[in-house]
Amino acid sequence: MSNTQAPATVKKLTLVPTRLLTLLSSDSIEKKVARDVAERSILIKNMLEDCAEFDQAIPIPNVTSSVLTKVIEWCEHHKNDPAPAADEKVDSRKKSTDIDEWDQKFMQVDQEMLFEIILAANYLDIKPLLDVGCKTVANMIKGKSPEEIRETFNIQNDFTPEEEDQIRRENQWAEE
Amino acid sequence: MMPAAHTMSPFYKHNMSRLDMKQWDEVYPGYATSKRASLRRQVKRWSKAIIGSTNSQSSSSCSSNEGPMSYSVIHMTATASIVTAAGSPAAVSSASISPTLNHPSPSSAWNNGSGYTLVAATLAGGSPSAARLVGRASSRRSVSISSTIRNYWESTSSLASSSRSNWSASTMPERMFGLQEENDELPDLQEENDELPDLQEENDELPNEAIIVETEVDMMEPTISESDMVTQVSSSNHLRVPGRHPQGLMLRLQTSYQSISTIESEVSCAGSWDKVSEAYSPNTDIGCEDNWGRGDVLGKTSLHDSSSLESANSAMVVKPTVIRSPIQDTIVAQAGFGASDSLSTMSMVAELLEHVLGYLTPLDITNLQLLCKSWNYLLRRSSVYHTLIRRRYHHMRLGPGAIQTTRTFEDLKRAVKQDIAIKEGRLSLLTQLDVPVHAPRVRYHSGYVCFNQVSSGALWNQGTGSCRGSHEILVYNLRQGKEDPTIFPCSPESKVLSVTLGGKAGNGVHMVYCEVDVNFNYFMLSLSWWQEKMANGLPVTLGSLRSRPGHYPNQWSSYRGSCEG
Repeated sequence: MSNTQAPATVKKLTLVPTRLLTLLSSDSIEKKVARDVAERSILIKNMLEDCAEFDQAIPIPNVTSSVLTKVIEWCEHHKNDPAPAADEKVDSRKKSTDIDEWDQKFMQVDQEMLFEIILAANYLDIKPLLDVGCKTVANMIKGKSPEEIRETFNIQNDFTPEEEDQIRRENQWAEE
Repeated sequence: MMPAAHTMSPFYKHNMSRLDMKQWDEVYPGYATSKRASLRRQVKRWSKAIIGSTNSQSSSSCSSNEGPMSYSVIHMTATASIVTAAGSPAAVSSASISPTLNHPSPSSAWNNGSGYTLVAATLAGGSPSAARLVGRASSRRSVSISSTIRNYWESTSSLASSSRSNWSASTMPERMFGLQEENDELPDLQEENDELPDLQEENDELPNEAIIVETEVDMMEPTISESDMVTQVSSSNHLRVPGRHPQGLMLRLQTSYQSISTIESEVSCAGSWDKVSEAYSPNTDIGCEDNWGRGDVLGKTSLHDSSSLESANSAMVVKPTVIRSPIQDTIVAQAGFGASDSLSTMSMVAELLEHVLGYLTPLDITNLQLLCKSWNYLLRRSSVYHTLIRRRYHHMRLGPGAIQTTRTFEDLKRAVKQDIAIKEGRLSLLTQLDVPVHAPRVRYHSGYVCFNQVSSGALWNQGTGSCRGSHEILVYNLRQGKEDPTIFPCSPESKVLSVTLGGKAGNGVHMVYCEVDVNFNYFMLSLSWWQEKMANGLPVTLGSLRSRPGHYPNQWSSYRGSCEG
């Protein structure tokens, strides 16, 4: 008796369909993603709530496939994270440099990809990912001199010495 | 009448030659004309509504136009939403401000009240498009009007001095017609009154009389200049509701100048002044970029930079030609830097930047300004700068003896907004468009200029002070006598309104403080000027510069003290 019940249970579980969505990147590459993963994006979540059936691929016109892959990777890793609290904005800024170890590794990408991820997170309304991206950028800036920041981001100083001095004098208050 | 050049902010030195409409149209063909036409349409529409609702009450006189000086007529029209007790569906309103200013002299105008701003709001059952109802849990009849005001100012010549007036409800229609007479382009609004529904009849919840709200106008300068216009724009309205109104009436007046800047107004009613809101949308600031911050104009930086700090950097506001980093690439691409008219992309970039800046210290942020001109530009023109400036003010307020009050802090925040508005050049556009906008000028801040001399040679613990003109503080030491005051020049942008001396002594330190009412906008702009003077040997410092006891003689220090609205 028991022998017959166990396989039935297994069969029942496997019958539960994993709802997959298809996301269509800006370069027309389709990505299959579980709904609960995709719903880390508030944009997609709202879209799905508004549309009962979504059989067609969901176009993500502002995100390329490579970036979308990274975003999906992040969402899959964080799919079980609790939803961000309403006032998390304040809290997260208090502990500004705290980035999860996995997220730190995840964000170890070239600058272009980093900013693509940030823009994608912003577009897709994935606030935790946006926070991580912005924190990463902030950490690249924090505590560095202008020269070091320029070096980090390969920015050429086009101020004249007088202009630079003027700005420094303006900002003297911040150094007190 | 223009003030002497040295009394004007550097920004207006750039903009002394105010573009007339033709010039503006040369830059953007048809733009100024269409703006003006749009404003006129606003005036016409709301004038019609006001006259329709208050016509029956026009009988009394208004003494606002006496005085030797010419005056300017200001139309301020408004839409309003009313909040009623228990969320009654009865209350909606239209509202309007129609101020006419006349300024015989700085002092008498204030006392006698020769300028006025009038707000009329008509309670009605009908629903103007902008009206909405919000419930308010109160047994008494509480009404809140949130008004978006569009200003239109037909300037006949110069404005002057301080003014404050009380204006009875019944004078408004006459004033409105007075405006009509001065504007040939406005139709005879009386004839169109029949088109207006009798909204009063539909309102059982609220009184059937028009709500007339008076505003107090406080303008401090004897003549209006370009710079004064900015000052006036950046100030608050004080609204007072006549006694017949439901008690607890609260007004929130949000002034929108051509949808470019939004400035909160401080409002009160029935004798008790209530501050209502400080809401502020940085995105609104950015919106102006879409209208005027285009690439070809960016090079004409006088349109944008108003501060002495920024004017020196005005040359920095240029369209970047070289993009060297992904960060810059992204930001520049999104922001457009003049190539794009997209408000949304600019707003998005600014939003993202602010997000990053939220994790940075003020020093980090200021370092970003030093990266390159592109970054400098973006920082100064995004809401990020709002964060920075606010932090700066917070920082400055931590000086010794600073008085921290809620009210002060609120004033500070408002001043920050307006300071930014000026810095970002949004307000200047109004001038450029020849649509000067008036909002009463209020003394937001009193800065303490504290002269702290450790030396026992000169006793400063007794004395008097006064101001000469608007940019000099005279301190009379009793020992020196009034014939020989010590003159402390303020920056040309400062507006010294009054000086009060006090003093205390202890531990061998004699300190005289000089309370100076300065227009806060200009105060900030002048900070670097003071610092520069200090470096050149003038014994005055301001703001964040700290006292360093022991450095004497002629060691002065100062701090900013209370801020009074």
